[in-house]
This record gives sequence, structure tokens and C-alpha cells, in this order.
Amino acid sequence: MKNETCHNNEVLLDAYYDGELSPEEAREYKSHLDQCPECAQTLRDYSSISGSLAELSRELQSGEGISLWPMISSRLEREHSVRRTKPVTRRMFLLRRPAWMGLALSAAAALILFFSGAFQSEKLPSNFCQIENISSPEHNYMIYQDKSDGLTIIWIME
Amino acid sequence: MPKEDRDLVRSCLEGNIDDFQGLVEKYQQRIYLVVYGIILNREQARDLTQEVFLKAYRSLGKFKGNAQFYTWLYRIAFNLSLDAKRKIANRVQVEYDDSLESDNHENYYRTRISRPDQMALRKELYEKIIKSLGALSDEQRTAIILREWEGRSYDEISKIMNCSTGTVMSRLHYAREKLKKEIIPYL
Repeated sequence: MKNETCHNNEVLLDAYYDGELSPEEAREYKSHLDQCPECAQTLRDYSSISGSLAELSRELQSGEGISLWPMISSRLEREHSVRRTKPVTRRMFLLRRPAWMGLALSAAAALILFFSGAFQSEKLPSNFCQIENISSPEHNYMIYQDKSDGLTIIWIME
Repeated sequence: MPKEDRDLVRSCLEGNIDDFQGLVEKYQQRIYLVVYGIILNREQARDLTQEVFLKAYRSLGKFKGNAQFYTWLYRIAFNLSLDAKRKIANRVQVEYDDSLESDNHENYYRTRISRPDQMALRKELYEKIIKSLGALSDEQRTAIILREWEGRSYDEISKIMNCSTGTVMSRLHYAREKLKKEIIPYL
């Protein structure tokens, strides 16, 4: 039968089992255990529970050895690229387009057409195009060049 | 904090995402177990383990070097898991992990336990343990898992769970008493 000391010191049993008592406290508690079969049995039960939990833990970890890193890193990369592009996008929307921008773009288009041969008398291949430079701080542009057939595509995004 | 962790954290803060890999691979299994212990579902525990590391990475700037990195990481795992569990509880009542019945696990039982009757008994025991863990309060379950699966001291558990060591002792005691009643008859 558990005596009053056992009931008053129930938590001590856990602390003893978990190795959380000082050496002196542990010695004292050990002498109690030697005289109390019920507490000694509880200690054995705790040990059995630990064994079963450890076995379950091994079972749960089986097949979980695959690194989560590839998935985590790709999500972090995505977040980083979004963070990098976000301020630019925001600025593009916040900036009001100056009145002369339309005119400037038209002029740029005319230049492209001019260099592509539309206004040249000299015979050039129909898809020939020469661009001196592109400069537009408020607009994004993208250039695609296919080296195999010399095709170049330029996107200017408002 | 072990030197390796500190170096990796510093490097991550300098923008080297790849250095976070070392921390993920070092702690992912242990975080998974803690998360599983609270959620009791493998699929959700896997997803949530990822979320723990993502949240940790985003919050690295808030990490104070005077705490252990894993204590800080476990706290994130503990808080995220409790939040997730509450959200899940609002949707469905999770009884226990039915993934134990998957083919994958059947294979595991077969390789580790040769006799079919032993295999069935083992499976029944695991299900019983999971069910018993599920019957504990979130706090009792977390305390017992941090102690039994992670071998954390009372002091470390109290820091992770943000409570006193006395509360940790009490939670562990009541958790063990309940588990004893439920599991011992099956052993």
C-alpha cells in the first residue's frame, strides 16, 4: 500500500526517475524505494512506458530520413526573389507616368523601325535590325536573342 | 549554444540561405517528433515541420544568442503545433494516426517482427500508445515527449513551454499516471 509519504512525494518519484534529484535527495529517495514495493513497481512501470515510447519513436522515424531541405530552400528562394522584385514593382505603380513618356516611346519605336530598314533605301534583309541603345529607368525591358538565326525580340513593358 | 549552430545562424543572417541547410538537417527529425507528439498525424507533422523551419528562418533576426538554438527552435515548434492543432480541432476530431495502417508501415512491422501474431500485437500497442497520448492535454503530452523522446531536462522543458519547473514536474507526473493506466495492461 502507498503510505502518506508516497502521496506527498509522488512528483519526487518522477524527478528520481528522470535523474533530476541531487545525489543526496536521490539517496534518500532510494532508501524509500527499498521499503516501498508499490513505488518500486511504479518505477518499473515508468521504465516500461519509456521503452514503449522509445519503440514508437523509432517506428515514427522510419521512412522520415529524407531531408526537408530541398522543399524548404525552394520556398525560401521564392520568398527571396519576391522580396527582391517587390520594391521595383511597387515603384513602377507608384510613379505617375510623365506626359512626355508616350512621346518618348513613340520616338523609340520610330527609331527601331528606322534602323530596321523601313526608311532606308539600301537593301537589307527584311528582318534586319540594329539598336544603338535602350534606356528607360521607369520601364522594364526584356531582350531575347536567338544566336542560331539571329532573331532578336525586345519587349518594353509599361 | 554549440559553436556550429552559432556559426550557421550568423551566416544565415548574412544572407547565406544555404547555411540554413545544416540546421534543418540537424534538427528536422527531432522537430518532427515533437510536432508529431502534439499533432499525432504524420502527414500534418511533416508539413508543419517545414513551417517550423521557415518561421525560424524568417525570425532568425529575433534569435538571442544567449538561449540555446534548439530551445528556441522547439519553442517555435511547440507554439506552431498548438496553433495548428487548435485549427484542426475546429474542423475535425483527430483520434489517432491512421497512417499506421499504411503499406509502408506494414512492411516495417514485417521486417522487424517476423511472426504475424506478434506483428498484430505490436501494431495494436502502437495504436494504443498514440491514442493514450492523444488523450493527454497538449501540455502534458508536450512535456512527456520532450522528456521521453528528446531527453530534455526539466529546466529546458520549462523554457520551451514557458512555465516553471514545478509545472513541468506536475505535467510529467500526471501524464505518466494516465499512460500507466492505459498502456501497462497491454505490456
